Amino acid sequence: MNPSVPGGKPGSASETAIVALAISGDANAYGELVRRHQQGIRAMLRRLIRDPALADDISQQAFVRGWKAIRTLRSPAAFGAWIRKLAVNDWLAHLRSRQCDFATEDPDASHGAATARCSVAERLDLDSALSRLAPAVRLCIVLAYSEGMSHSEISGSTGIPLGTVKSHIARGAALLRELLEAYGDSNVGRF
Amino acid sequence: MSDDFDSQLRQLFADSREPMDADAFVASVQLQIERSRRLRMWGQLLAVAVALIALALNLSWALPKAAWLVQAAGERSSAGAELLVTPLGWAVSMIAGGYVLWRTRAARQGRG
Repeated sequence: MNPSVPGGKPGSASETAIVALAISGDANAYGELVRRHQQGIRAMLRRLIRDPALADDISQQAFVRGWKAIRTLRSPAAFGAWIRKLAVNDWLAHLRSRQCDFATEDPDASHGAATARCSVAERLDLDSALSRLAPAVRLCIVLAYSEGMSHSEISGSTGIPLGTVKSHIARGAALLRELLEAYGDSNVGRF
Repeated sequence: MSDDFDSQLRQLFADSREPMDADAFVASVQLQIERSRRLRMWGQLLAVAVALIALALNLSWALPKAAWLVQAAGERSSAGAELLVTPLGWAVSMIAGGYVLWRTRAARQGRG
């Protein structure tokens, strides 16, 4: 993987230059972008979906879609936010394909809750606590706490109204704290 | 992060990040991209081949038709040019021009 950035190693080239090369059709440059962003996108999707293999599949799908659509990217500096939005959209499409109501319920949630109940004596980690949140709430929590996005950025990126984002985050954080406190996991002893 | 978030929760999210194998993932994405590029290229080649075959099969019919169309267009344009220099032709062209302007302005107002 060696994007043809004049006089530079792939790791040292500026993101904007690499994105510009990728837009011009340089597959190696796009590979470097995948390398730089894969960790964040996969981590985000693994938080949203408890199945790591499925999360990786959706991440790959987002990156492939990104390659096909990169010519439509207007600002090279916004690649990170753009690919994250594609990944979130792919996750939403996955939810829709399973006839799941984004705002209220998730077919995985009952499974997650059952899993959580089964593993009470053992361990309730952050991911299983997250799986008990409604998809919209989970999305807002993950974007805020895992991706470090502000309320307005989340609203702009997901299309969820700002007030709803705020209430989702407040409600979701309270519920997470409650779940983590209740189970007194060693990982969450600080709660 | 400009908004006021729970710092303990944020720390918990940061601590629970797991390392992931980048190489296998990147290789898999590149493989899929290569596959989709190859598929698209074959699709384009197939479309060109189909178009060429269709053209070859219809060449004996298409060539005389094309010649007839070119000839007819040439005859009509010369007749139109003669009409344009008469007072009637001038009046008709002015009306047509005015109509085009009116439609253009209406379309622009509709967009705005």
